[in-house]
Amino acid sequence: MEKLFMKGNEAIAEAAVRAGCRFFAGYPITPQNEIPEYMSKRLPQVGGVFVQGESEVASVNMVVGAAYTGTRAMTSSSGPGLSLKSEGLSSLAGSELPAVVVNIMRGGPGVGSIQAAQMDYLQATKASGHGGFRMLVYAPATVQEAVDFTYLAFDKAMEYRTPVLISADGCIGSMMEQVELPPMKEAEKEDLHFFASQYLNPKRKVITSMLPVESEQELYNKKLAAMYQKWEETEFLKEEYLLEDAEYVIAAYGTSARIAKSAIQILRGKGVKVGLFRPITLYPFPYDSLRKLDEKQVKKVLCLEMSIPAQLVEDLKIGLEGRIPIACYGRSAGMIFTTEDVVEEIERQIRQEECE
Amino acid sequence: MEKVYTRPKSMNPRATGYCPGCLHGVATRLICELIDEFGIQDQTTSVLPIGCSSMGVFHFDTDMIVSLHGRAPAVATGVKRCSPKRFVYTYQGDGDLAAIGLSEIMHAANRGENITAIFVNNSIYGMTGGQMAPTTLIGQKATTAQDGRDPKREGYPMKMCEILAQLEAPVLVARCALDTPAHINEAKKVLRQGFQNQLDQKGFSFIELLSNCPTNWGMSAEKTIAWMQEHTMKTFPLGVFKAKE
Amino acid sequence: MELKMIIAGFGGQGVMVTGKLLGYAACAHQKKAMFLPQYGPEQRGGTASCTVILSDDEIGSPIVGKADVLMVFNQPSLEKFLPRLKTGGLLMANATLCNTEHLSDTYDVVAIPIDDMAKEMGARQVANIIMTGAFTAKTGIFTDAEISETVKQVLGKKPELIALNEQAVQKGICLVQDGSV
Repeated sequence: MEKLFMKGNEAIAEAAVRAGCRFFAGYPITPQNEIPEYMSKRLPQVGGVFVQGESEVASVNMVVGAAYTGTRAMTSSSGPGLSLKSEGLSSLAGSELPAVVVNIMRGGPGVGSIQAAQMDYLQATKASGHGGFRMLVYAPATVQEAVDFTYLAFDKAMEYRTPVLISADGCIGSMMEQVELPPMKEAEKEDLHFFASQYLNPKRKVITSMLPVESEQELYNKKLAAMYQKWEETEFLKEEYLLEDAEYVIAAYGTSARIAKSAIQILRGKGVKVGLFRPITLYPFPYDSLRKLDEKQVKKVLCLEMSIPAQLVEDLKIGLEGRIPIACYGRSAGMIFTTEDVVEEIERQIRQEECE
Repeated sequence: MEKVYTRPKSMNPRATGYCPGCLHGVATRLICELIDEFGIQDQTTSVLPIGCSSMGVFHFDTDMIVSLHGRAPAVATGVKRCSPKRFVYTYQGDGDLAAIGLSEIMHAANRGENITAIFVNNSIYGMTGGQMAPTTLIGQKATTAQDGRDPKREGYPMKMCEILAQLEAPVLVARCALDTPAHINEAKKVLRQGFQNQLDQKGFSFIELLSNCPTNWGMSAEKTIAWMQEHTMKTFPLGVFKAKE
Repeated sequence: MELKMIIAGFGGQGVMVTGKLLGYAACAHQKKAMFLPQYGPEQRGGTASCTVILSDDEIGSPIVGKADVLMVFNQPSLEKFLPRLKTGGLLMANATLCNTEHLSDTYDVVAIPIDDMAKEMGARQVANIIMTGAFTAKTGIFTDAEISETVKQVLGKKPELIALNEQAVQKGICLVQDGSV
């Protein structure tokens, strides 16, 4: 297959089109602007629709309308924009609407920095909006993975009738790498049926996250809970690298995991037994890999993240249940650790270990 | 005997959830009559927002999206752009449309979305309990303006028709009232034009319907009608503000 | 082989184009490449920089700490990024605007007055292409034909510049090959 040299944001947009996405609404925000720009040109070529929304709020609500028609729909943004979209994400989850949402993460909190960071982990995995809903969250580490997971996300969104989040740090969005693009899918509209219809008007499509009878609303909540339970059993993805004999484990996702891998290769060259645990889905989180770690072998887990304070560490704590000590090393606001920085940090941790 | 007056087919056979004397029921009925007259029940998507108008979920026998507060015009945009053959209208109150959803209505209008926006203005937040709306009249009491709206503190009532009529794209911007049979007949005529515009692919139509709120205005239904005539219509004059051929 | 490089200059000097060109060339010739731009908030002017990694194998970290190659088009960029060039690394500088005196003790310095040369050619905008040619010849990462072909493909949208770009690449290559820099 032909290899193209593409920018992450554009590759994500093209992957979406090939996955059958025919509606996109979005609002300008750095560092994701190439996604709406690309879509504005590309979607009309395939009979799709691009709308530049007047806000993030309007954009995600346009996606609500598009999703109801059975059209594969997407919106994208970055940090502050995701916060604005949160009511819409909650609405999508609350009314069984499929959609793909892309967050090209930048610094935070507040306006933060426009440079690449991984500051939205907790938002993505624990509470992207009110009401206790979850999303499948994919965290690519290469432009190729950004393509593959975007393509997959549309199928998952339709399969589970849920919003699915692509959570990529700004490096993935901005960088150019080689990619193989997946084949173009037929973009048939799906005839969707909705949970609320049976209670409100069985012969019509009724889309609402507001079921007037409490017990019906609770039934919907239970339906979601059962789906999330299933995700935790079947939908998690992870990468384990040189963990078999590892005495030190770096836990990292996205670009951080790539930097970790390069550092591990150098450290292994020096005889240090270090490995990588990379969650690919941030939700559901692959706790299993952490539960398998042997506390007699692994001396420490290093949470490596483009975020200060650390956020991934919350899931490491759950997975490790206090059996193995955790240290955190992060940079933020567009400051990114180099391979050498990570090597030094691991060596510092080892010295500390030996002193104790 | 010939039946000359009956429930519209597209209106579910049940009592409305509205308070006694509320004119929402009249607005609902007008819309359903027009859906029937145009024969578009199966191709209609009603987009409701939050507020009393969300109770339309029980009344309209059509496809239905209950959107978030203020967002109906954005949701309707998504629906109409993906399914241009569907008849898509929003049914919004004044808190929803003129406060939290101001941005969505302005931009849907400015893009000239081929939808019909129906704006039921009763100058107050109904469902949440009588709080001040952007459309509350000067001096009118509300639970968050208990001595009455003071323009020095809360500004003036927002006139949505006058504001929207400044935009280039809308094809119809009009204000009607639901206080008398004559006004109701006139409202139906204007609504019919708003429906026709969409079916003819002409673009964005905005029809404001002045309404009442006996419960939160704290008066009998009859008195609300007199109040509408003496006060509401003075602030919000009826008329067609824009009509493109 | 893996080459980590930083390219920097004023906005408008072709920093990003140079980085992308190398990426496209790698992609077209069975190598791996990663290009990562760094922008300031300014739309015009200001300093532009990018990092490029060219490799025979999968690319690990996309973040360049110490670089093997630093290509700079102006003095502020030289000063800003020199600390990130590893000792003995290749420094390719625009001699029209950069002072590289005393640096050849520590680095492998290739200083070319690309702005002057481009001006002589009557096309200031091909200065970075001269540098690209010189870089290719110096590192041997692409053959002359490979880089010429990529320049033609990627920059072929401006037909009036095709011949000039071709000349510029060749000029850069020759400068290195005949040992004049």
